[in-house]
Amino acid sequence: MTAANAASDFQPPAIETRETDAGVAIHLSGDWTLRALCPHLDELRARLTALARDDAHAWDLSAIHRLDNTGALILWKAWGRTFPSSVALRDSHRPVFANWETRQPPHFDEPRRPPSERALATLARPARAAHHHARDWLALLARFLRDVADLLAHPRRIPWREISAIIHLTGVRALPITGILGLLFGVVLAYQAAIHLQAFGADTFVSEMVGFTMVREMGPSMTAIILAGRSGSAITAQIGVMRLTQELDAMKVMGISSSQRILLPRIIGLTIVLPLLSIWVMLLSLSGGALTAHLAIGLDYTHFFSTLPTALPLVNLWIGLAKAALFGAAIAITACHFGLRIEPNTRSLAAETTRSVVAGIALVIIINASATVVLQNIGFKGV
Amino acid sequence: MNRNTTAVELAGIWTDFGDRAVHRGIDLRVPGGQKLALVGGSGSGKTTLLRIMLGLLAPQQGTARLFGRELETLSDDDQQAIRNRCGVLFQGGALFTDLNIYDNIALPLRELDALDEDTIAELVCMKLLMVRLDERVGSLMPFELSGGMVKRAALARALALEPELLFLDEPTSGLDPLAAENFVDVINRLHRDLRFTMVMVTHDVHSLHDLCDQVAVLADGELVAHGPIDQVIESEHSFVHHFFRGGRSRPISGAGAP
Ligand SMILES: Nc1ncnc2c1ncn2[C@@H]1O[C@H](COP(=O)(O)OP(=O)(O)OP(=O)(O)O)[C@@H](O)[C@H]1O
Ligand SMILES: [Mg+2]
Repeated sequence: MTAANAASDFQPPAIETRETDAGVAIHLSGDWTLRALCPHLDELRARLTALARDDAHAWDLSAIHRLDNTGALILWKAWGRTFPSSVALRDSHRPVFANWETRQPPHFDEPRRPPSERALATLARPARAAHHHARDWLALLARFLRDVADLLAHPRRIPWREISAIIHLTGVRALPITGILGLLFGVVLAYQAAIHLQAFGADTFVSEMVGFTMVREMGPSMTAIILAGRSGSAITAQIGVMRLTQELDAMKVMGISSSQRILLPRIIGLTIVLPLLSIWVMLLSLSGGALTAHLAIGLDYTHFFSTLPTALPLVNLWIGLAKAALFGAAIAITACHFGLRIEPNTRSLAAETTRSVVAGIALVIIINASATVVLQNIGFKGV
Repeated sequence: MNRNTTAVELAGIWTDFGDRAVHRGIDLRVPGGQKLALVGGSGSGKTTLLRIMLGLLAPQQGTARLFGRELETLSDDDQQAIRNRCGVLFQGGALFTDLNIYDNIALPLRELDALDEDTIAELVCMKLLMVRLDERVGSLMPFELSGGMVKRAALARALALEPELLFLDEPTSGLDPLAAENFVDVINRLHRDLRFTMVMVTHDVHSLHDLCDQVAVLADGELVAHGPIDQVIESEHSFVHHFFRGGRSRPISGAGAP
């Protein structure tokens, strides 16, 4: 059977005109329902309007099989919102017209602007929006610090279980992807370094170059950017849905602090996870670098790793890890901040999740740039 | 709808969730024009059975037919055409949260691609009026409505396409008694005008009494009783007994109270 068959268990609506002694009689028959009318609506409406122009015609609707509100409305509008002077109607169809008889065309208030336009208006006032975001973000940070102080005073309330779940989800599960990306990054970096340094006959400096870049700069920020995309979005969406489904309210009325139970474990979890993941990325990218240096310019593995400790003072590792911890906290707070702004509709869920990722990555890059400026004299050889 | 057609037919439906069987072999036939009430305890699988009827969920065993057609075996277009003839009021409303109430109701009408905006506006207002919602509610977003208003807006949307088969999942829960009575009036009037078939899940004995001509009782994964309401009330099954003759189904009357 065809689609038409599946839908058609109706008789098509029909209009017939007959000349009688008294004038023109119009006979309507078939089903005058939404689904039956749809295929021929324009054509029927044009005919009805033309026929209705002459009020002398007699309308006979008694052969109509089924009539619904749409069918009645089409006729009613064709008649100019009043019954023609001569109309024959089945009693069972009379109430359907009664629905329309008492009504005037609707007047809607100025329709509310859809959320996308509201978002545009927000963009037009970026300064104010930025100010609000900064204020709420700092308030969240303050609340986090208060919560930490509170939990240090009552160590038994520390949500260990949630923190370890977050570490597992955002850290352990991210090992494969961060590992692969780190390895590939090390390979590319060492290859570029090897080609250019070889031109100056300085090819033994490949390890120093890869080491500095990965340990102090790219290791932490690359990991942070992956995590902002991977876990930042997850946190925002999860908190958002918790708000939509009133889980946060339910928690509140049970006397459980949602900031301690939901926000704090995520912030602490990411602050712990990011330095650890950074170490993992550093290790793999250095291995990738050593492998490439060996294959590309025949640099010895032992030489690659043995020159690292002298070329790369240990303080660089500490700087890298401290930055990573900072990135973790910033990403988590940003994700929570946007999660709490989600309104109860799916559009807002999508918009805030996007913003959360973009803002998280931007923040990582800004913090990294600031750190580079502030720490410019620390950790280099001979300083 | 023709009275000797079959709107819904279930045969040997068996549903498991994990190791828990929710339905163990359910047979049910709803002829065209009938108003069937599906009752049963909370968690007995009524909503799940509606989802099976609509083809939203495939049972482990058994077949479900809508208008004599097994949905799974049809092409997407045919499935769509069949579903177009149904209106569904979901238990939680399932209004589109991004659209205001007006657009929620107008969406299926616009989808038909045959009506002009003026006609759609009049139809939407008519639907709002039918469920006793003010026209101004049209410009509100779903989260700005109370629980009972959500129910009524969702009913208006279910009625938007003038369905031949109406599925209602607990339509009167969350309504005050007056609104529930209005709801019964609305449905009765619509049924008189349009002669649709109706399958309604309900816990409300009063509206069931006024609205439905057949009752099916779901308990322990089976239909323990099925028939006209007077006949079902006589059943000796303990759930049926408690449901229809327990203390909570008696109307409250000041004089009779001890
Ligand atoms: N997607 C699912 N996965 C697992 N179990 C489910 C799922 N959907 C429903 N169930 C289980 O099936 C059973 C029946 O659920 P259903 O929602 O059909 O109940 P109901 O009769 O509509 O109850 P109520 O009157 O409370 O709405 C419940 O025990 C529920 O836990
Ligand atoms: Mg249910």
